[in-house]
Amino acid sequence: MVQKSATPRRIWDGGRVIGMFTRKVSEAVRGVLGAVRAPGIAELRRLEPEQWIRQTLARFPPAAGYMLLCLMTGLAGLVLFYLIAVVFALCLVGTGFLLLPRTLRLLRSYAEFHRRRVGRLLETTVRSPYRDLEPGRTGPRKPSLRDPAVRKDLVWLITHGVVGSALSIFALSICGNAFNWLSAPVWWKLAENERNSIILMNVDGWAKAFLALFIGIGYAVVAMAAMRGLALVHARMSRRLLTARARVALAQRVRELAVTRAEALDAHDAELRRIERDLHDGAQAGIVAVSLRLGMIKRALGHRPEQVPEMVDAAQHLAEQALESLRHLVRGIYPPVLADRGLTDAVRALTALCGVPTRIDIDESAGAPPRAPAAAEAAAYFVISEALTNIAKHSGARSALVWLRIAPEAISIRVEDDGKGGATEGAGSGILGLRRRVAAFDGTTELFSPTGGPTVLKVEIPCGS
Amino acid sequence: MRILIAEDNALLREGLVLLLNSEGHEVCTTVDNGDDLLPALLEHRPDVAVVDVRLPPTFRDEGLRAVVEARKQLPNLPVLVLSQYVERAYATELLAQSASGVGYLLKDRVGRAEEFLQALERVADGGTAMDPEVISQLMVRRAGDDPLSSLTQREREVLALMAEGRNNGTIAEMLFIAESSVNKHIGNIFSKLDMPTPDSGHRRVLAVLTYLRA
Repeated sequence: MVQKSATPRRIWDGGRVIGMFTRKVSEAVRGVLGAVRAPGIAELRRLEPEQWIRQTLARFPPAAGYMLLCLMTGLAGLVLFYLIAVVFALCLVGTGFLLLPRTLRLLRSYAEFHRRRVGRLLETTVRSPYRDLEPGRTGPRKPSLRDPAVRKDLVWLITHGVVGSALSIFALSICGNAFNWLSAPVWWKLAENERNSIILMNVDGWAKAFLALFIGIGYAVVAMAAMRGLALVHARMSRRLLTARARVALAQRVRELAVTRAEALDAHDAELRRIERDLHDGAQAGIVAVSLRLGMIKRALGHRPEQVPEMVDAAQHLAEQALESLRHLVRGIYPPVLADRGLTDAVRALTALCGVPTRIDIDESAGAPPRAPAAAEAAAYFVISEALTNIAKHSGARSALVWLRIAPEAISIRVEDDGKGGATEGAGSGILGLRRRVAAFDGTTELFSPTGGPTVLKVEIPCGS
Repeated sequence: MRILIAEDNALLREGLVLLLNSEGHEVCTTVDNGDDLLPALLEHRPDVAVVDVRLPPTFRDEGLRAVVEARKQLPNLPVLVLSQYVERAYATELLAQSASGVGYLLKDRVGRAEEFLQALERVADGGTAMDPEVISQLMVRRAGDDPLSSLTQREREVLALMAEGRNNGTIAEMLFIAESSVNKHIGNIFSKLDMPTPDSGHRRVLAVLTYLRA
């Protein structure tokens, strides 16, 4: 090495120059790309080209689907906006008031539908901002024009119809252009008269047709790369319009937290009562029973000594039962297996004990998942335990699945079975208690259980951060 | 004696039945919930009922409420109430009607078979059996008030034991003093508390309890 660099270089080192050239070019490209802060392109700087291509290909269909859908709903939204305007106008003469509630409900379901679409694309939940849907709110659950969120929906509707549609048309037209250029070799001979109107090049020979094909490839790459970015821009704009303003959202969040805190206190209260009762009626009563037997043994020693061994056996049996009930109680407060083995192993033990054959889906490809706070782990454990108990008791299922993901920010749980469904939150099903327990962590519980099954329980427990 | 048992914990219920049967008492019926208790008490009219304060379905104080109701209809129906813990409110409620034939014991005491059976007999005879814990709680409530604070330490001890339903001989034994001293203390207590001179037996206790629940 040292020798080589000391020798003056006489021959032209072609490989070295080419290497340097490509490096410079890629640096320049990356610099330019860095300036363009489109999300799809920014990733190019982080990812290997092959990864980037694979990712872009995977992301294109949902983004294009979203844009296509938004184009259609945007145009339909303009019609809806027109209808609403008509209803408002009719309100001036009175008859509109009859149609107003139905119209507002339609507007709400339209907006809610888009919240779900936007949420799916942005991989978050877009919360409904409506006042009447807030937890702990009494009064009728119907849209009202007094709700700023409803008024904001109207703004969204017209923006979605005009700006959103324009954006969709732009994004989709890139795809269309790519298709037109790419397909030049196919049609240039067939459409002699309209050649000039299809693409911006007069294709009059095979050479030009194939040149168009290569330009088309470039177009397609741009379309692929830009589609997701444009869809994200569209989705973020929609999200801004579909959610409440920061101050309103904050106020709503505070009200929600007040409700969940009250529920947390209730859950805590119920838990304390349960522990107190279990202690008094379980362990304490058991020990009293032992003490009673001992008293009887003492009396028997004098005049019926032959009965004593049997009575001692009975007393010992009772003592063991009291211990068992204590163990059970402790398990109920904080399962020791959680402390020793962590949530995943504890859940494995639960599924192994379940009467219905249960598969378990835990992602451990990146090593053992992080440990969540003890309280969150305990709540997750009880959710799964309760769900499996319900499945074994009520569902009539032949198999079940527990899906568990533990991330630093939340524990996500899904429990499914192929049973008869129809699970309700009524008394005795335990779902209500489960929901409260989860709500205490500001978590969410969703139960899907149509009659005839299958039943899916989804729970998310945030982990404090 | 014909005894009715109301206790929801099966282990304890069986234990009590076993103990009472082996002592030659007759357990006329057992009840394991609050709803059946009142009808059972009224139907069987036992010589004494052993009742758990807390029974299903609500696990609050249905045992106690059934007893209070039963004693409204059958005054002086002897009842020994058992509880997992001492709750002054329960004792005062029990004593609100009449202190004759009433007992209130911690469940733990059933282990001391001898004392438990004595307490049961005392209640069946129209006497009283109060758990020392109950008495001390009732005394604590009174500590700030004048009349009791005029008692000496020894007199308080004697009063507490009287309230539990002990007779003079037992009190003397328990405090390691002569029975005559006990008599003297009792005399002092009654004069300090402005009680009419008692004749004998549980009527003294009655007087004490009447004072305690005032």
